Amino acid sequence: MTAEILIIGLIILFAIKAPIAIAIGVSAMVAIFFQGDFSLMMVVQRMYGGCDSFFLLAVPLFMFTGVLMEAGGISRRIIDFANSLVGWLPGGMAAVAIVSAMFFAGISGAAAADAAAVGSILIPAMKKSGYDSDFAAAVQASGGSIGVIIPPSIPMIIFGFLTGASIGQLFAAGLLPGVLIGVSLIIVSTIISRRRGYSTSTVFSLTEVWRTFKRAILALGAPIIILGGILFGIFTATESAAVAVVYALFVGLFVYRKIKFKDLVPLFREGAVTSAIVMFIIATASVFSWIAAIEDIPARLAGTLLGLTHNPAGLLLLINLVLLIAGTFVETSAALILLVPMIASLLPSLGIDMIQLGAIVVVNLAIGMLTPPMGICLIVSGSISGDSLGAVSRRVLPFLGVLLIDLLIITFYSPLTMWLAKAVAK
Amino acid sequence: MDLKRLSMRINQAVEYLLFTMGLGMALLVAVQVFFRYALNHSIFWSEELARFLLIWLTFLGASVVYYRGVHASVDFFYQRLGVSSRKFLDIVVYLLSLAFFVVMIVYGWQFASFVRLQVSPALYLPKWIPHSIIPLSGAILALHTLAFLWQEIKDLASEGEAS
Repeated sequence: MTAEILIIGLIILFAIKAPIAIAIGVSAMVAIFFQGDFSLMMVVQRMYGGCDSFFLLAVPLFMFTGVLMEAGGISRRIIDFANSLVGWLPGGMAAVAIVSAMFFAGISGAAAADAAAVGSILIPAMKKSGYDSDFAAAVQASGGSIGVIIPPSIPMIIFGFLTGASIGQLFAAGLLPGVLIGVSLIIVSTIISRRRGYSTSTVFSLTEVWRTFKRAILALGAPIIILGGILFGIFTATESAAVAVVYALFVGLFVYRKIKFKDLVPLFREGAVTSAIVMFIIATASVFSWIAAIEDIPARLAGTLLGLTHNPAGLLLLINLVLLIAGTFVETSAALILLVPMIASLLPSLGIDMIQLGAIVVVNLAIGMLTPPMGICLIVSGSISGDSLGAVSRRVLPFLGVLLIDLLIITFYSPLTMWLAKAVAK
Repeated sequence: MDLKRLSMRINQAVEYLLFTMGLGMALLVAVQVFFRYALNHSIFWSEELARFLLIWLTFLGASVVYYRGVHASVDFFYQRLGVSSRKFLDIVVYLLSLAFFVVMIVYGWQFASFVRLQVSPALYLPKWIPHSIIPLSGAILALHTLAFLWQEIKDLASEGEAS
């Protein structure tokens, strides 16, 4: 009975457009009330406990880094550098949008922030150069999804928090898949651009690469601090995030001087508000996953999947399918907290490492950001370009196709994720 | 002062607090790193304080997100409905949310009194202080909800007069 209340309650509340965090909290509260073994004080206790974590401090800290770096004028410098690298390709600006999104992914931990930071400059620029507006939005949306795959990554922090897997290793596991996805997206955008006759935006020159690299070097310093610090075991993820915030403050205030002291109020405030959207979902979902675990729901769902097949490859494909469907309808943090307990319990039957499983989960949910109705990257890019969700969704289809191929490679070729992850000091 | 203005004023104050806590939390962890690596000396209380700030930021931030109406939601079915059904569902969602916020106030209060004699291990801070954020934010969220509901009722009343 409790399981039915949880699941049906959740579906009804989502359908009537209750905020996701509140929908999750209310269905858990009603389930605890009717189950009858526990006081409703558990709702409060689990919400508090759910966000009382030093790991999760990295969530707002990486949000602050992203906000500060963007306001500090680094988007432009990163875009110029990306332009010198890939601007000479057919449809050069589309490739620039993807490469810039990859660099920005090394600073920000969220996909929507990534798509917005680069897209607010490049989508208008692409439109001006004669690219179709819905294509420009689709390219930027698919590039933005890399934001959660290349470290830092807020979904990976949440995955580590839920499973106890090392966040440093998870970050390392995301790096090469992020590069694979970036390159494959560029291939697709180049083929489409050649067919449509979109022009190149520049001629390749090494001196130009060097000149723009020098201008962008401080901007590229943030990913180096974050990645280098974690990969070499100098900092934990949370510590590297705090160092990155201080670095971003220093560059923005004193070197590029784009940020003034009075700007700090809105910047930190908005970073905190964006973090609270994710953190409040984590808080209420902790109540939900607690009562779900009491009722043994994750194990029962896992049993259902095991009833279909015991073949590790088949199970991995099933997990991918479940995650892709969930990512389509549910916000990323919520999908993680609701599904990861079930998926992690299948680990012994899968024959892969928890770290690789984390990378697979996050790539799936990143793809979910490109599918309506809950496709956050589509929504962000579409609102910049002024196109409807439907129009951008159609143009994103070829990119989704290649992302599914990438997902299969990441799922079945473990060195791609594990090679770097194993190199990281634990 | 009427409900709508009270809700707006409180939100303004909370937004300012968010800035302070966000900046404070970032500097706190950064100073902790600096002490550990540069001075080879660990500050024992900074981690605990940073966690308390995170919890406060989560719940106070949630009230700002709620006030602004930007909590993530699924509007797949909602956008296919007519104006009057939307209004009806909005009110249903407000009432359900209000029930949740009331649980936050009542049981949050109980929980804070339950731990009132305990102190935190590093700071020796009475535990009811960090825990009080749940009934406090519950009260702010409930106030915003009442202001939204009041607005809905006034809209309905003025529509009734017009027709």
